[in-house]
Amino acid sequence: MIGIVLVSHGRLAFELLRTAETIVGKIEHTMTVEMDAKTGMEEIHKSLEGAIRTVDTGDGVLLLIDMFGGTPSNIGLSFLGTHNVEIVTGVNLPMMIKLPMARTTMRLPELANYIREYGQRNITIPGDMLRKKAEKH
Amino acid sequence: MPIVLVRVDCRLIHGQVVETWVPHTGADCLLVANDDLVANPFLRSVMEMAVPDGIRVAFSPVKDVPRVMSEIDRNEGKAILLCASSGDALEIYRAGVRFANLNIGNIHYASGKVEIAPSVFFAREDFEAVECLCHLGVSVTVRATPFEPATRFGNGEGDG
Repeated sequence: MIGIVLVSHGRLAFELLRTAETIVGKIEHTMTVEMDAKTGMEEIHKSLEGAIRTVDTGDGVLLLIDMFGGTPSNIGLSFLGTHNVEIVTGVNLPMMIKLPMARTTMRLPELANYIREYGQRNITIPGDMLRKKAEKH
Repeated sequence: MPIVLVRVDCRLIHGQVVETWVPHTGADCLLVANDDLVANPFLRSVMEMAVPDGIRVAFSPVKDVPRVMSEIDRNEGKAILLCASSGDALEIYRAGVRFANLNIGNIHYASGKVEIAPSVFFAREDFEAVECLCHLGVSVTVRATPFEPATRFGNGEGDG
């Protein structure tokens, strides 16, 4: 099974996982790494490496990071050359909820691609959708 | 190229810099003075990717900042100078870069350090470097983003 590590500023990673689990149940082989203003880059690097090692069962690890360009992503990206990981940034709740099923049927690069597209597709302006629907009628 | 901000930030280029200090100062160039990054092309390209189009990024060894600045100086624009420690800031000053104000944004926690601000923890070397900089006439201000109140060492105008 593909392992999952969520990486974020503040308590976002932990809360995102906890919230997703209240909806879809326990998400196996998943860990969170969080950083605050106190944390040094080396410390985050070490925690992330430990988390990747813990959740990797041989099929690789998907790193889900809160935003591109922040420190969690700057550090996460450094694992691309050395570990069997793929990274998706801008993680949201729809992605988290889709993961448990998707990860059982896909390989890592395919999963990363799918989860990115699913996350993007679920950022919506419902008002626009309703207006389009009204125009049709 | 005028320097609009000199900042100590152990994370160098990240969200706070790109999303708050760049628009606040109107900078269009980030000059990163860091020996580790100069030696690590992969990490350099990771940090470069985090910067929006239109903002130039240059890297320099700490001791070579004056030379790298003179090389990019032919271009118009405003630069933010980033370094990872207060010791590096002092070295840059002593290498000949005369800045009036220094912003300290992030220095991570480690055992034995003193909390100066929520994101700034000083070891003995930091106190020594900042004291030297104050003595040299630099106004040293501690704050992570331009929107928060500043803690100030010495007497000057602040970090901008």
